Amino acid sequence: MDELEICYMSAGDLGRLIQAGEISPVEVIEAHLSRIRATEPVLNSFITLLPDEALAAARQAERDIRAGRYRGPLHGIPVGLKDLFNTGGVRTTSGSRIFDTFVPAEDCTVAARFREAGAILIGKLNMHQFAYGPTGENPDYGHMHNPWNPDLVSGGSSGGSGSATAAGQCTITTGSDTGGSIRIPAALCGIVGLKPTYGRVSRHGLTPLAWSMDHPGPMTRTVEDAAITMNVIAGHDPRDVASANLPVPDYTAALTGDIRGLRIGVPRQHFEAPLDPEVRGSVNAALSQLEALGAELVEVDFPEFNNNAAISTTMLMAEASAALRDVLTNDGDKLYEPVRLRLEAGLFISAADYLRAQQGRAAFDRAARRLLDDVALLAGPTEPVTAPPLLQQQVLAGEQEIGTVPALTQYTRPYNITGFPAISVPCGFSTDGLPIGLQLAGRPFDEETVLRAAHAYEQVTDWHTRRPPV
Amino acid sequence: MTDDAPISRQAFDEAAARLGISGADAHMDELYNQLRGVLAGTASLRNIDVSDTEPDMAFIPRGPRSGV
Repeated sequence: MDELEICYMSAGDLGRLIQAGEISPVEVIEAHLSRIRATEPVLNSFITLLPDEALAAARQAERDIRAGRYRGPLHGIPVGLKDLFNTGGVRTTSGSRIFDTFVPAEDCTVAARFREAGAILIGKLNMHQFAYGPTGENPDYGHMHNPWNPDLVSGGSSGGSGSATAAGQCTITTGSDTGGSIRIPAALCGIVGLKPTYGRVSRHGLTPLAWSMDHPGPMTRTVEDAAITMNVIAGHDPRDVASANLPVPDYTAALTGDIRGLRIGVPRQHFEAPLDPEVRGSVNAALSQLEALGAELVEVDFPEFNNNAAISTTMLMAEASAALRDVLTNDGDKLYEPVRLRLEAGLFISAADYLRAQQGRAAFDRAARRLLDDVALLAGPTEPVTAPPLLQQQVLAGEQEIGTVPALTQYTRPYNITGFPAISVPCGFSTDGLPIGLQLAGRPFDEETVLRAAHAYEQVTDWHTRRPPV
Repeated sequence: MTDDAPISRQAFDEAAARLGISGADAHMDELYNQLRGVLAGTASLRNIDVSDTEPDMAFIPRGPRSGV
C-alpha cells in the first residue's frame, strides 16, 4: 500500500486492516516516520520524535497481534501527545526550554490509557509555550506552521497536534483546551477536535494552565476516530479531583447517522459578533445541511455570550499566574515575552475580581443550561476567521479589525466557562483554500449527541477528505 | 495616561514592586499597557447581573438531563 495512503487513513480503517492482518503496525509506523521526515522541516509539529521507540513498539504489536493478543481498535495506531502530557521516560517540556530535560517518572492517565490500548507513541507535539496562547508560537522549539499555508498559524495552543494530524504525520493526536486550544487548531488546520465535558477525561499528569478550565481531548481527521479515542481515554480517574465518576458509553455506537428531529440552537449573537463573510457562508451552508438531514434549527437568544471574554479572561489569567507562579518567579527571563507578560499581568487581578468572575461564570452557566433545556446542541462557527499570518497581532473579521487573540477565542471560550462538550468539524474552505470549522456544543456528558451530529454532517460532506498541499 | 485609566503608573509601579515583578523599562511599559487592558476587562465584570449568584468554586458539571 502507498505510504501516503496509509498516513491519511483513519484510525478506524487502519485498525480494521491491522486486526485483519492486512497491514502491519511496522508498515504503519514506517510510513508515518517517512511522512514526518518529508514534512517536518516545513511544519515543525514535533518537539520530541521517538522513531526507535515507535518502531520497537510496532514490532511488539505485530508479534502480539499475530499471537492473538489484539487489544482493540488503537492497537498499532500512531499517536502523538501534546508536550504537556507527562510520558514516563520521555521528556515533557510544556513547550519551554525551562523543562527541556524534564523526564517524568510516569505516564499521565491519558498516555497510560493509550499505552494499555496498544497505541504507539510516535512523538511529543509542539505547542504554544505553556499552552498560553491560541496561535502556536514557540521561540524555544520554533513556531508551528499551517499545512495549508506555512506562512499562517496552525492555531494553538495545541498547534503541533493540529498540523501533525492534518498533514498525516499522526493518525491521532491529543490537545488540551483551556480557551479553545483543541478546537482552534482543529478549525484552522481542517481536522476534528473534541473538547469533552470537564471531568470526562482525566487531567492527571498534565501541566496545568487554568485548573477549572483545562480539558484534554482528541484531535483526529474523522469523527469516528474521535469517538474511538474517547472510548479509550474517557472515564473516572481518582487522581484527578475534577474527574466525574459516571459511566462511559461506547461513543462509536452513537454514530448512527440519524439526526432526524434533533433540535439545534443557533445563537443569534454568534452572527452579530465580528465574522468573516466566507466563514459565515460556510457555516450557514453547514447549518442548512444539518437541517436537510432532519435536524430542526432554532434561533436562540444568548445575550450572555457577550460576557464570555471578561469572565474567562479573568479566570484564566488569575489561575494561570497561580499555577505557573514558580516558573515566573524562578525563570521569568527565560519565558517567551508575551507569555511572561500575561503571567505577570495575572498577578494584578484581585481576589475580589476573580470571585466576581466566578459569579459571572455561574450566571453564564445557568443561562447556557436554560438554552439546552430546549435544544440538544448549540451550533455556530468555531472561528470568526481563517488562519491568520504568523505573529500578526490583528485580524480582519468582516469589517472589523480586532486583536488576533480575542478573535481566535471568541467562540470557543464559552464552553470552557460552562465545561460543556464541544467539537469542531470541517465545514468548508475559503477561496484561499483555508479550512473553516463548524462548532457543535452539547449538554454536559452528552458527547454522544455532539459526535452523532458531527458524524452525520461529515458523512454527507467531503471536507475531511481534502489534503493540504504540504 | 487618561484620568479614567484603571490604574495609575505610580500605583502600577508600587504594586509591581510588591509582587516582585521587575524588568527593563520597555518590559515594564509593555506590562503596564497590557495590564490596563486586562483591568478594563475585569472592570466590565461589574456590569454582569450576578444577583443571587454565588461563585461556583468547586466547578463540576452536573449530570446529564433526561429527555431531549
